[in-house]
Amino acid sequence: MADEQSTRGEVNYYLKVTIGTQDREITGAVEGLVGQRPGKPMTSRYWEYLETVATRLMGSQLDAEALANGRLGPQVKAWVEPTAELIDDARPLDLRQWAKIQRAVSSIHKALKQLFIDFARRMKGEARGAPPAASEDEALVEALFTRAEQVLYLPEGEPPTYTYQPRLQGVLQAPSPPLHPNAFDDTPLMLPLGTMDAKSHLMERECLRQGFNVLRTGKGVFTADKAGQRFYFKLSRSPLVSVDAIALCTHKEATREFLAPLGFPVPRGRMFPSGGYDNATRYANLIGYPVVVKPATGVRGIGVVPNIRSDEELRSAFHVLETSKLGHDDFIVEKHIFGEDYRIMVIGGKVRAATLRAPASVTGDGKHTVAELILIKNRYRQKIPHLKSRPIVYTESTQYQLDKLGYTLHSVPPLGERVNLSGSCNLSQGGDSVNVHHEMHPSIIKLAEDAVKAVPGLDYCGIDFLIEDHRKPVGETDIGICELNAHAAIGTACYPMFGDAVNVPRQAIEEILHNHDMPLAPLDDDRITVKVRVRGKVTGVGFRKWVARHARKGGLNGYVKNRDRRTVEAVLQGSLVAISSLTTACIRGPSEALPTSVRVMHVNESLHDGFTLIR
Amino acid sequence: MDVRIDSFGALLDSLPSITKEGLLIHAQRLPASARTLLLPRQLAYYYDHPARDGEIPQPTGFVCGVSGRNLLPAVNFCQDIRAWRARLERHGIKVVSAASFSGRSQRDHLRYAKKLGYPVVLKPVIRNTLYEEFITDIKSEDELEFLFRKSRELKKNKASDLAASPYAMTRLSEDHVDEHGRHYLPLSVRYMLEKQLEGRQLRLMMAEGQVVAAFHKHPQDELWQIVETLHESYRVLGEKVAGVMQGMAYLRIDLIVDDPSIEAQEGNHAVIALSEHLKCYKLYYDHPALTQQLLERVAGGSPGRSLDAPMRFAAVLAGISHGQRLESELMRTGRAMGLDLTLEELDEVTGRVRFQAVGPAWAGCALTWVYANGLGIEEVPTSVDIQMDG
Repeated sequence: MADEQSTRGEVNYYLKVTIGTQDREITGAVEGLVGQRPGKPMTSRYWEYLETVATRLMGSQLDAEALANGRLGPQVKAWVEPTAELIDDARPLDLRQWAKIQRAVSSIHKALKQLFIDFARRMKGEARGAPPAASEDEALVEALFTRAEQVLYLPEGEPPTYTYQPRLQGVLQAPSPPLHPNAFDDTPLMLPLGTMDAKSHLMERECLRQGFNVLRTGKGVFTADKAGQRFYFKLSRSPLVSVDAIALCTHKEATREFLAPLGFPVPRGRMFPSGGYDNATRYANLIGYPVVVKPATGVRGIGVVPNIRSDEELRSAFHVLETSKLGHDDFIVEKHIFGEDYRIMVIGGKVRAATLRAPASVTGDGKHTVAELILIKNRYRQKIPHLKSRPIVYTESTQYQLDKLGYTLHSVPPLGERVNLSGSCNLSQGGDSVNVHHEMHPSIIKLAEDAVKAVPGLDYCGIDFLIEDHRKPVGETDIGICELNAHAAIGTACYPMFGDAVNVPRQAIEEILHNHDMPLAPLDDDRITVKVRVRGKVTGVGFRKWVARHARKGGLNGYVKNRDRRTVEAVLQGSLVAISSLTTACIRGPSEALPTSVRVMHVNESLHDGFTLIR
Repeated sequence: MDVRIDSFGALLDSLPSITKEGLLIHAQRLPASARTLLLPRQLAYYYDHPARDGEIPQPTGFVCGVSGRNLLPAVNFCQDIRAWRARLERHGIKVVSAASFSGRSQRDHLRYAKKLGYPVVLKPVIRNTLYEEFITDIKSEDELEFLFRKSRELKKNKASDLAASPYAMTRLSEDHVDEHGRHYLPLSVRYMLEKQLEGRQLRLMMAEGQVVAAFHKHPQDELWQIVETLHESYRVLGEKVAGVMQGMAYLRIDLIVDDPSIEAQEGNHAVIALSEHLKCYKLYYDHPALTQQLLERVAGGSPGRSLDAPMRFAAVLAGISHGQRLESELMRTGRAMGLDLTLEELDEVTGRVRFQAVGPAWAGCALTWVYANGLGIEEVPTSVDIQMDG
């Protein structure tokens, strides 16, 4: 089953159904459209409903005669029975909501009914000797991979592993021991967050753990206060960073000019004013190809073109830059450094995590096709909160990478062969995050710590390196500092796909307390009690129902009630992760709500029995 | 035509206002520092002593004249009017009546203005530039509608754009193009509509949570006057605001008050703005002694050093594209400021230029600041690295 953003906007689910008879298997598929507003809470409820329908379908025993005659009506009806979560107490009088649910359920019912009629027709045709449709399975797999963004169904397979084995000047180095994928219990508890950014949530979680009360006024904006001390947070911008440090770090040329005289390895390069392409071409020839072109104040890789090898490629790169969102900006031409992409987190002058960001790949097991290996890996990515909504997607770039290796989606790679599926290390394009801190060479760690220490007011930094082999000392491997990130994302180190997880926000908050001479006073992660007050347009919009649903799912006790016409109040008791996910998500709430602030206060209350919606 | 600039004041007057505060800090710190590194976006790092072997030097940093002792998220909250208003209101501090509106709610802001009563003030909710963009004295519905539309016309900021705030949250939004092909800010970008209050403007300068100076003026006046008898309640109010905005080592609080010498009570005062910019340059001529005290407090450096004292330094400019143009321009600019310049190295390919200069301290400060920020010059380097001689 797959959810996708169709370019035509007509289809957002695709359900592949395989039935097995004594001697053969028949595969068919249905597709349709439910929950058209991505990111809205209702969409995730439709998605969960579809998942339930798929689960009910899987492993069902079918009556052979009814199947042969296409008469599976009662069974289909049972499969598509709406779930309690989908209905969510929608009363028949709540016409708009009710009609939407009815429409979704009947459309799936109709599609499945038709599918089984088609199965019956095909079985009859084949019984009469008609040949089965050519490469039908392959066409379905293609359809699935070309259009799917989320995949729920997968074949059985061994968990994917990651083995680090770099090339140094073309020579393959000894491999590191293979790493196995992580699975985090936090994933289901973080569901209320939906598509919200996790940075701010993770910081809020740690503030609550240290006994701070929190006031949130935006998706990424909150204040934490305790005993008269107040700290401000904006996404991952924390009190560990000063105003001049961010100005330096967000300007790549300024960073280079600052670090280079101090002897840190930054790639040779320089900045040019917007449109200064002639000079830039002369400069590229002076320092020699390959070079990289990027905007001076770039973020998220926008307008960046790496590994440019000729004047002609450089002209194309300028075109890419010009047409990007940052095309109006000054730009940088610098020497390209070979190696893989690393993000080293330095907090309070010490390296806390070193994450290798590897391009999307699968490792062959000699049994499964590339398509199946992608499905298997995506299933494991579902267990990583930070990667849950970032599966490996089949794109033109994937096709290009497979073509280069002479593979298709149906090829079966041999055991142990790594098949690269992307040219980019971006996690949102299916890249892997691997914590390699344990085997990183101490000289690289010292280099990272020194570089961050050199910048005043920078107690929290994600320093981006390109390194050929992180196990070798500086000097024996090609290495370059690409960027200092004063507001680096923290989810990658917290929830890596492979390697040990490092609670970076916890260390950041502890460092803030240390800097302000405040004692560490962590609460028990499983026994938190908070009172939440949400202000804004929060009554008459299903806010209490929404809180109650998520609280029950997260195993929380307490209650929720309307305090006045513009305030909803709740008491939540339970685990820190479930509580903080829900309190962060409260600033968004259900689709009709417009909350303006969420105040979370620690309280002492006796243990509630279950979760109550007070009417 | 040769231009002569014979005083620091004359140069200060000729610069854009957003670069003046940085220059004042620079003039305070440069003569007292062994090494100074000036980078794009008005970033300045001052090293107290030359680098020693094996030591990672720790400079003092400033950006646009704002001290690096201000913590980032606190400054970002200062730039976001809704964020600081919400926090001040929760602590019982009176703020001016206002509401914010996005491009989607064009009618709502007109309705709200009617409710507030004209005149009103219009300003962006989040300040992404160094200018405090606000339009005062809006007297009618037509005027407001026109100005609201005009305010939303897209202004793109380049990295080298001096007006762009280097520490604001990055805005990477899609352009919105109307039927006439004009580029607009996205509809979600919000503007604040405030009641324009009558009364005197009171400006409190805060350092480390304490009121260190207070000025007042009538809105129509240019000149800020020192408040001789600031009522204790305003001092307490200032400290309370600074307490709420923890993380701001230096903070400017603007209020509208009936009279700063009378106790702050319900209805006779309201906070209208908070900012990380102290704007000492606005006081430089009228209150030189107090301004100097403020600068010394913010910048540190050596008190009592005269800007007319002679200074000798070596500087390296990086990122030069046209050597000849730079040479003639640099010599001309140095002469205009009374500096004796000797060019020691000029490499057009690597973009590096090295020169020695001797002259009054103010001229050295001014020349290096002008070059670091591309003020009135054609050939703009990406950095200026200055080593003090002796």
